[in-house]
Order: sequence, then C-alpha cells, then structure tokens
Amino acid sequence: MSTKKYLDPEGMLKLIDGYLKKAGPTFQLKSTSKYLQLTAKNIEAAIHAHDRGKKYAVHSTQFPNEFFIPMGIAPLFNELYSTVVNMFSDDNQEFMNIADGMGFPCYNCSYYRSFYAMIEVGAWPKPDMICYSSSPCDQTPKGQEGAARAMGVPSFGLDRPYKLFTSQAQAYWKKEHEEFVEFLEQQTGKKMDYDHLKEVARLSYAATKLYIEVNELRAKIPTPLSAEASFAAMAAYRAWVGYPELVTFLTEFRDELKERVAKGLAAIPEERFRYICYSSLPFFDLGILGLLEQRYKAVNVMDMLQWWREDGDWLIDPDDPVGSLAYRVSFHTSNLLHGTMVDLAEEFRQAVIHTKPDCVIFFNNVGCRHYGGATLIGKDMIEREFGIPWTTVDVDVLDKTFTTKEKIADQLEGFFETVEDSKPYRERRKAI
Amino acid sequence: MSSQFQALKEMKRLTSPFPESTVVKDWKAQGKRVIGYVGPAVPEEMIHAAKMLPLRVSCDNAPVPTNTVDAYLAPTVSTFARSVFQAALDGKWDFLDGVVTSIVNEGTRRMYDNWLAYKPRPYMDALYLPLKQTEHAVEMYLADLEDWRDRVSEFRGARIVDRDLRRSIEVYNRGRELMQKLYELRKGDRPPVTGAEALEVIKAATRLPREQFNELLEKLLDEIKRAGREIKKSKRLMIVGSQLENSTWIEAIEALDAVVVTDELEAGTRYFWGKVDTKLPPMEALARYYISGRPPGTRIWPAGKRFEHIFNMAGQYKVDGVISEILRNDAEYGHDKLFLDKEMKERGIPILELDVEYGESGSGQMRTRVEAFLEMVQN
Repeated sequence: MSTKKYLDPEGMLKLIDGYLKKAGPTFQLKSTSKYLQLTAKNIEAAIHAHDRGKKYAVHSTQFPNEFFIPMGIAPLFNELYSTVVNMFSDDNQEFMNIADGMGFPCYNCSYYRSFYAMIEVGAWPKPDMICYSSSPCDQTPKGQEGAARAMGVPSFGLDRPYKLFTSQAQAYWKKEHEEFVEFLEQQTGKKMDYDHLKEVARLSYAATKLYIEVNELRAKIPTPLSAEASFAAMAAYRAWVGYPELVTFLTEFRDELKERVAKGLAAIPEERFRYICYSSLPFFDLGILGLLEQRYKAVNVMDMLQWWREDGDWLIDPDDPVGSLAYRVSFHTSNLLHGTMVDLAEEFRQAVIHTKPDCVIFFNNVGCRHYGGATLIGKDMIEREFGIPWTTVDVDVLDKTFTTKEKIADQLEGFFETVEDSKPYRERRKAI
Repeated sequence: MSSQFQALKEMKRLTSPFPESTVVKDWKAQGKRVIGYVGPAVPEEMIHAAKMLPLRVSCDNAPVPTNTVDAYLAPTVSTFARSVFQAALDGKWDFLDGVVTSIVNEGTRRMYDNWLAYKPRPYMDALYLPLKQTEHAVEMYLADLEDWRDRVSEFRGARIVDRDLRRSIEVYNRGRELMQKLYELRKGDRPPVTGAEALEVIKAATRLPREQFNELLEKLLDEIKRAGREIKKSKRLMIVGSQLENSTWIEAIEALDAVVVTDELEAGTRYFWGKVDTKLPPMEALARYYISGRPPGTRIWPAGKRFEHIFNMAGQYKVDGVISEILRNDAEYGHDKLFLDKEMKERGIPILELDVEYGESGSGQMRTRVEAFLEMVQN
C-alpha cells in the first residue's frame, strides 16, 4: 500500500502561507497578497466547515454561489482550488497520472482528471453536496455529477438554456434556480432567508460594478495592473461573490489601481505591447504573464473570462433576488460559450474596442471543446474588424508538461515582431 | 454490406450514394426541399408535416478524411462534429435546403456556429435539448418547438397545421412500431438479422421518406418471417455509445463467433424506442416524446438514467457482453466510462471499451481486442 502523502487542502494552506511570507513583500500591489489571502481563507472555511457546525459544498465554475450564503454553506470551487495547486506545487501532474491509471480519458478536461484523482486518493475532503451549472461546458456537469457519484454525496445541476433571451428560456432558467433553493433547503433542513438573499444579491451586484471598474482601470494606457494580479479579481470573485469581503477587496483593489493611474504608475515601465486573451488566462502557469512583461514589455489588458457585458446591469428587481441572480448569467461572458458564437464574438469585439489591445493571444486549452471550435470565428472577426495580429498557443489548463512558459515566450518572439510591423500597432505608437 | 433480403437491398439502393442519394435526387427533382438535421432534439415530424424530407446528417460506411476542418474545429473536438463538418466543407451537403442542429453538446454547438458562418444553407436553425426530463423542461422545449414551427412555416411559405402534424406523427409512429418489431425478433436465441443489417435499417429510416421506409420495412419483416433465417453464433453482444453509422464496424465484430442483438446508440434504440402519444395535442406530444419518451443519451441528467436503459436492454436481450464504443474526444461518454464499467462489473456483465474515431471501420487491432473479449466472456 502506498504511503505517499498527497497534497490536500491543509497542505495547500501551508504552501500559500509560506509563499506569502516569502514573496509578499516583493509584490507591486497590496491586492496581490490580499487575493491570495482571500483564496486561502475560502479553502480554510470550506475544509473546517464541519468543525464549525456548517455544511460545505463543492461547486463548479460559473455557479451562483450567492445562494449558499443565507443557508450557511461554505463553498469551494474545484477549478479554483486546482489552479491554486498549480500555482504553488507540481502535484497536479501526479494527480493526472493517477487519473490516467484509473482509466479516465486523458483527452478530457484536466480539471476533472485532477479532481477525480484527488477524490480517489482521499486528497479531497468529502463535501455535503456538489452543485454545478451547464453554463461553461458539457464536461463540467458530467465531471461534477461523476464526482458526486464517486464520493456518494447529493448533487444538483442547473441546466442553462442555449438561447438565453427568449421568454421561455428566462422562465426555465429562473425555475432552475428556484429548484436549487429547494434542494438546498432539503439538504440543510433550513428555509431560505429571502431577506438575507436580497442583501447577498445587493452585495453581488456591488461587486459586479466594482469588477467592471477594475476592468476599466486594467484597460488604461499604460495599464496599472501588473501580471501578478491579472487573476486577482477573478479568483476573489469566484470564491467570495455575495460576501462583504469581496466588496471590500474589490473596493481596495480599484482604489489601488486608481491611485496608480492618478500617479502615472504603470505596471511596467515603457509598456510596449498590449494583448488580450481570447478565452482565459494560461492557468497551468500564470508565470507566463510575468515573463511576457519582462521579456517583451507585453501587458495583458483583458481576458474573456473576466469581461462583463455592457454595464453589468443584472439586478433587475432587488425584491426578486432569485430572478435577478438567474439573469446575471447573461452578463458574465464566461457563461456565453454555452450559447451562440454570434453572441460571444460580439462581446469579444466589445472587449477589444474597450481595451485597445495590439494583438490577441489565444491560450487554447486543448481539453476545451467549446473554444476548440471557436477559433476561426473569433480570429476572422478580429482580422476583419481590427486588423490586429492573432496567435493561438496550445496549452493544457493544468498540465505543466504539455508546454512551458519558456517555450511559449520563445514561440512568441516572432509574433511580437509581427505585431510591431502591423499597421494598427504602428499607427497607435505614432499617436503616442 | 450484402444482405439476402431484397427489401434491405432496396433500402440501400435508394439511400446510395450517400448523402445525395437516389431518393434525394428524385425528391429534389419534384421541386421539393430536403432539410438536414443533426442529433436527437429535432422532431422529424415537423419537417415531414412541412412537406419536406428530413435527412439525418451523419457519415456512412467509411471514415471522412479530415483535412481542412482543423481550421474550424480543432482536432480535440468530437470526431463526429469534425467529420460531418468536413463533409459540409467538401460540398457534400450543398444539396440541402436547410440544416437544423440539435444543441446537445460542445461539438454540435460549435459545428453549427461554423456551418452558419462559413457554409450556410438557405435555412439554418438550432434547437436545444434540455438536460433534464422535468415538466419545466417540457414547457421550455414545447415553447421552443412552437417558435420553430413558426420559422419552418415561414421558410415553407405556409403554416404547418396541427392536422398535418397529427398525420406525420402517425406515419412516424408506424415506423417506430415496425423498428421495434424488428428488434423484438432479435430477442430470440437465434436472431434472424445481424447487428450490421439492423443498423442499415435504422439508417434508412433517417434517410428515406418515412412512408416509403415503412413500406419497405413491412416487406423486410415479411421476408424475414418467410426466410426462417437463424444466425447461429455462440455470443450475444450489445453495443452502447454515441454515434455509430459504419455498419462494417459491426460486421467486423460479427465475423467472429458473435452476433450483435441490441444496442444503446443514437442510430439505434435511442432513436426509435417508445411512441409519440397520439392522445395529446400534437405539439405537446412531440415535446414529451423528444424530452422523455426515448432512452436518454449521456448528456441527460442524471447519468444513471442512461445506465438504466442499458441494463434493461442487456437483460431483455440476454446479452453475454457489452461493447462500449466511445468516440474519441466525446468527453461526456469518457466521463461515463468509469461508472458504467463499475456498474457492469457489479452486475456480472462483461464490458469491452473501444475508443474509436467516428466512421472508423473494423481494424485488425479492434478485431484482436474483440476476440480476446469473447474468449474472456467464454471463460
């Protein structure tokens, strides 16, 4: 019998703590330490929920965590946890090898390869329930439902309609949320406190508005947001949406960026290239972003997991928190992959208009079928409408052996030369 | 595939060459329209009631070489979506007057997006199949179908009326009854048809005008009865999985000492099981049938529902083993793999998992694996 000690959430907390002690003083932004502290606090709250007489739920990406709060349930997002594991250790490699040995297809999403393996070796504390949404992709519900089956815990899934804006789709989606409330009531034996949910929705809405302000500041020329905190708003949002802690964090984050803008402090001196990420950041190694800053003076100004539609005005009725929270899905663009590319491409167009990038870098997670079929439509739109260069870099969302940040940085050398020669870039530089 | 049955030969003749077959050319020569549909969310009855030919979009008995599709759908996207869209890029579907896609997974979702953007036919549409079999799902899908009826009516230039829908439901239900009769014959100890022949019949159902298909299947059932054919193989197998249209793949299995007696496939029991309830208003009847009247595929929650149908069929058809066909990159079936394997073992039903490319014929390697599996089943 193996005596190997696999990384578990307790071990993860120690790693984050050690890292913060060592690297914290070197961060450019105070918010970098704060978001990592919030992440650690989220993990801690979930794994010690039972000690505090609370229940704990694992949930998928793009899930309305707000509903857990009035029910006193501590949430833990599996993908955020796996991403943080990758930031501080190489243990996901081991987990993915274990998943291969279990017969789980290696072409499936690595978040679920890692998740299933952690469950198999007992490195994932058993939750009271697993909750998921079909909003991101098909593998998310399958993976979450499978995880619930493997751990023998109840689960609930939200079925997001394909077309969001028909009246029947809106009614169905809201009903899905109402049934989710019923599920939570069954699991906890408590009734939903709707006054509390209204307050939670209000805080969530405030967080949306602050997030959009952060995005606007991130898009300034030069950007005040360095690579170290590109993931900050997203990580904090996914773990703390609906809590006052998120509003506090995003307020401080916004103020910190605002102050830098007012003082003319850029993320890096002499910002040279601005790039936007079609889809997500390269989660397998976020160090790539820092390397691109150092080597090419290239800054990341947006990614499509963090972009919000229009002004994010989703709180349609403060007295109807369920309906409003259900409506929110159509405003956060990470939810749009489940729908039509017409909608997603339009939002990408808007993001480019607002953030003024010189080029697009598409970190194509090879395990993601949604973006795997979305490349050409996005690329053609960019070339047609903006004429800025595009490059696709194949990565795996977790697997560090698929490629490395150094290889990617080398690969991008020629690309940035192309960007430099491009007409839109030359015109922008001339204007500066 | 050769068959001793004249009616099956006629089905093959009419539906060849695929996809722009003899029957399609005859249909179009009469000035009538052909609508290609993808996946399980598209009620053929609606297209039939609009006096158009519903034709299931798929591949046939040979893999489609994928060369230009990579630019649109990455190699990691399901091989079904890639193969079908490659055929579209090659112009094989240019004869279609319209394409209606079931939005059931990532592959079909992005395939539709690309088809719409780069090779649109005059009429393009998509229908979502809810992932749950609840009353609310029926309500939403029914409203979607009503909207769809409006769009198809507009394309047709005339309203699709309930009376025509009722008639179409009856015609399609008759086809379902006949296909179920064919499958009933396969329950016997010595089935009269092979798995490869059965697949060809189901494919014909999705490619011929339904009245013509029904007539031919009635003839086939009569021929089978008269022929008294008995297939004497020592092992009875079931095939489960997603998309399988290449009957030579099944032929390769049946060249061994085994016969395929049933399935859980999209071009199989998941297509024709059950019947549309003719006592209900036609639109509601269609919504209920397509949501919950048929065996669910892997996408329907919870996955246990799919497994129940598999166990039920395995019991009814007294199968000795199950072959699980998982299309490469069809991630949802990959997720089911671990659990299906475990549950099959708990029930004492041997299972062989084969990871295949869509359209693949039976390879030597596949034959070797099936041979080893049959030996294991024997022992």
